[in-house]
Amino acid sequence: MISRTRVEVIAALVLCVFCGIGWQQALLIRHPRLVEVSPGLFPMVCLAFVSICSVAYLIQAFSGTVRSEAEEGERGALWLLNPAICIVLFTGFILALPYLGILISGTAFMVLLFSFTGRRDAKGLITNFLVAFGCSATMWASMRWIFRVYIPSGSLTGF
Amino acid sequence: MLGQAVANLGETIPLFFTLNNMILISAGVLFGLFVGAIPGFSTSMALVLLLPFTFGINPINGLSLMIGVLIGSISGGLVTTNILGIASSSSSIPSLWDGHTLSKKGEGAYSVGIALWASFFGGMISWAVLVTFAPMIARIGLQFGPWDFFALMVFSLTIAASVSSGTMTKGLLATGLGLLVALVGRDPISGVNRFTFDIPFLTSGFEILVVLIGVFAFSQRLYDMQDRERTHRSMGGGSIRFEGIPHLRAVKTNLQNWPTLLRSSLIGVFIGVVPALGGNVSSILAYDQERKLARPEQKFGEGEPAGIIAPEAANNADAGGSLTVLMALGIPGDIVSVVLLAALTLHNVAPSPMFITDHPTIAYTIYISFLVASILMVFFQSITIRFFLLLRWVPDYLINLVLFLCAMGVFVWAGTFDSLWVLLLFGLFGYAMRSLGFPIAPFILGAVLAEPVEVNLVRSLSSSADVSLFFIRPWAMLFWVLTLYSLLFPLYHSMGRRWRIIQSLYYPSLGLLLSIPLFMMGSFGAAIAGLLFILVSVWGGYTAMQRQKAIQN
Repeated sequence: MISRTRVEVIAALVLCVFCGIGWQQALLIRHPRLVEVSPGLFPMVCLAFVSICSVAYLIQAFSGTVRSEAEEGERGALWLLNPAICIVLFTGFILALPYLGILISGTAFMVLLFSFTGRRDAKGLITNFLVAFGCSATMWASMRWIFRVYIPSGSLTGF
Repeated sequence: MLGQAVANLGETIPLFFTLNNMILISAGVLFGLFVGAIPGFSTSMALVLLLPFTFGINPINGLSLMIGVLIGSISGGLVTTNILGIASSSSSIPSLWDGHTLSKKGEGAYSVGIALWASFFGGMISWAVLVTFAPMIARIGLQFGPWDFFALMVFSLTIAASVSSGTMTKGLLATGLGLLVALVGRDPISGVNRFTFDIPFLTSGFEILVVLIGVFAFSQRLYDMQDRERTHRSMGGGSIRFEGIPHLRAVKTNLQNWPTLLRSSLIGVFIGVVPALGGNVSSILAYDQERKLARPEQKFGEGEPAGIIAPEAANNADAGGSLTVLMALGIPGDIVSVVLLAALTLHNVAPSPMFITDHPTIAYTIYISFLVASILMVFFQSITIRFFLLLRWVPDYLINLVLFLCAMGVFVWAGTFDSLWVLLLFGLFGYAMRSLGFPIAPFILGAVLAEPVEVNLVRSLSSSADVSLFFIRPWAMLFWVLTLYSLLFPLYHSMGRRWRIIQSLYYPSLGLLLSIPLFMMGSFGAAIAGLLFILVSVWGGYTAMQRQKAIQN
């Protein structure tokens, strides 16, 4: 379990590294001859601003004076379980989408997500499937026939 | 001017009152009422998710649909708040204190009726402000040069950072990160690549809409699902007896409390005008104000009608205030306005002071939609109230389908699988921001305003090498003074007893400084305003000093 202060310090350090990378990229921005104001001017102004704020944040984080409106308190890894599951499932959904299409991959994603984060008994699983399929089918049908948006078919399923 | 308005109205009405559009606006209000009744599903989230789907329809239909959702969702929570005692959003919390108490006394339908009509009247007052003041402010905006617009946008960004939740440093960092994210890709002016790391995919930059959906809607759901106990919960159980709303009695109560209605609506409009303050601030402020002005016989917290009217009227009036600034100056005041700005941009309409003149049909569509949606809201709320009470059985985890809707919205908009990875990336980024207590609104405002800020900066520097123009032009000076004071606001707020004298001079000194650019404007009206600022500041400063002396003695 990492303390809140340590998390803030890590976040501030990540921001400082981000600023360093940003400066390296900002210095590479070309200034075309015919353009009066350099395209790098505004990014550098913004970077300078973010860099100053990041250093201030780092100092505050080290001194423990940074206040936060986020829910305080130490929380175990269990607190991150649902978001972690969701991210893994969403990654799977994106990877499966070209092969299975929206209807099947969308339904599968939602059924798994509902079941991992909610009820897993027989009645719950049926509800999860019905809600997931209903939502997925409605979106699929409305995109195809109402909004007339191009949706690629799954290469394995054909729809 | 009136003739032009009538002509614009005449041109818009036949386009607006078509069967297709009426179905869409009704569907929008119903969808808004539905999502507004579900805790964890905010107005902005509903609008963000809906936005990509308006791409294929014409601007009048698209905006009508979105305004319908906006009005519906603001009022959607009043059933769950008043009857079930569950605030569907933070702006509904003050309505709980008196609304639910009245409901527990067996007056649930009356309590919903008061809230419903307060929402309607609040919406109407803000509509009147919108229709009257948006063109007036837009005419002032026509005097602005790029220096003034630059200063105005910087002011919007800093006030968003300083009044948001969390520390000032975090607010400012969020703003800066939003600006930087929007700068990735090809520079719109010179075509030079920036922050692309030579990755072809980054050349076209991040679609603001995808960033918005990721950081706002996707991350909100990730954040909410952390609490494993909450995901299994539904809003409540048991049977609820609910008779029809006593409309006449509710309207009468609202009209009897007309000073409360008017004051709260004006507070709502004012809060809506200030960037980044939202419905939750307006409803709490309006409730607090009414409690302070209460007569001895008014018992706030025990089912007092004025305690229901104040937050509901302010909450609905807030929308009109933020729309006024958006339509008049093209500056989004809150996330809802950011989404509406994106909707307008989607249809190649760029809000600016010329917006009402250049696109009268679109502007008048917004006016009419606001009015029609408010009427439809009362109608649909009355007939669907029993259905919305059934929503209490929906467990929280089923709302996770928002994640799928986010993906579909992004897919419809961008049409590529890559955009889904960007959605995931910004979803994670938003989740990290929320977990660390970074405010989201300044980030989004930064991302949306980055391009206009840069365009105005480049225009200013291209037209004159004199940098002092950024500060000595009257409007620019006025906005810089406001920027400075918005940056000092958290300091003013946290000053201890030792600094109370300096603290008491915050507003008087602001008034005095604001009077300088007003005098510089050279118009009679501005000079009168400047004089008023001086008089109020001197009087305010004098009374504050007297009070301090009295405390010290």
